[in-house]
Amino acid sequence: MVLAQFAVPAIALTQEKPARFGFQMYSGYGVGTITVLDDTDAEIDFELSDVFPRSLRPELDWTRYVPEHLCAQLPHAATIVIEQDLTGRSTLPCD
Amino acid sequence: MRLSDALDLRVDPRPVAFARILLSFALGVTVLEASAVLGSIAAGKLQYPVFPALPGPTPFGVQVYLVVGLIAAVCLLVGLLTGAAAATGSVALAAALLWDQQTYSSHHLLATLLLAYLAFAEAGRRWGVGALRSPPGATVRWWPQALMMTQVTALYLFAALSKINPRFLSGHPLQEWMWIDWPLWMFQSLAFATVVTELFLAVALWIPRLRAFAVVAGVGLHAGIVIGLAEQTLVLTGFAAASMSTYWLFLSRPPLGNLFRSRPPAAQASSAAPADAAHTLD
Repeated sequence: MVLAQFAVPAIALTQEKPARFGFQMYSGYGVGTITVLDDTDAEIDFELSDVFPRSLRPELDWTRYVPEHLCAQLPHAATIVIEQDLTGRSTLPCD
Repeated sequence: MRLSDALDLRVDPRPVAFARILLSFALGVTVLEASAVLGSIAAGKLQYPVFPALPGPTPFGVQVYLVVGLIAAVCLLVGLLTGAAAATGSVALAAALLWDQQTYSSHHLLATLLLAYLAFAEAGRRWGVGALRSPPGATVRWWPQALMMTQVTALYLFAALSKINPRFLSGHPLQEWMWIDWPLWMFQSLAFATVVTELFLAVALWIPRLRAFAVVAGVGLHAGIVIGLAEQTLVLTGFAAASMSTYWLFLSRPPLGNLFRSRPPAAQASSAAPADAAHTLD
């Protein structure tokens, strides 16, 4: 058990940061931005707290569920631009 | 004393009763935080499922979760059915982690694990309803306390190691997170001090001559986090409670030197004695 207590975060330390189960809180990793554009490539203002239950966790892959959700929630959204340490820059069109 | 004897070792019940009370607060705060996240998801905000095939949070499900979690926290606080309450609290927190990925946080994970160990710690033998039926001089198992201490050691160690990176040490993240308006060099100093303090805690809490200093440093670190960071004050207070719940365990723990040595007969006889058994093993 004690071995697992140290081995799991040790392995997490070797993974892409921040990693879950690594106790890497407030380590400065995982910065990112999300921009929503309309058909004319103009930025759409929106409150993060209106669409997300909390600040997006840095260890999550934001390209996975975020674009689909924002496209559904913001009527004029046409493109979601995500810049995240974990995944780099992604430009994802709404279907 | 052989390692198997460590499993039989029994100690003063008060430090773990103190840990139980602080962990009841940490559980309550963490359940409230997770319920807020899950409730928002149930209301239509972004969902990040762990198992996409399983149903997501519903308003009723979140209410049940909240009630169960808070009942477990109250039971821990008053010392009623503490083993079951700690196990229920740990399972509830683990369930939240499996319900949606956005509930994850290091303090959530820490509380989940500490409560799992606490479930075996007989933590209701003092300062609670369960203590009324406990005979004077009753003792409690030490091994769950050992796991709680090693868990918090891992927390401090890897929190420090992960902060040894150019971005954190630049001071910019702290400058962004804290409400205090200081020059950058102050935040850079604070970043280095944070890493040094966390490394110190990981080591010094185990060293008898240093552990009192480590406790002071730990209280200072957590107070600084709670007071200095601009957001999540209640959540960070819960994290502080979970981490500091082990401090008395460190201060009162049996000496480690004897764990892998053969035990003298006198010490064997005293291992079942209350409170001061640890000191006779020195």
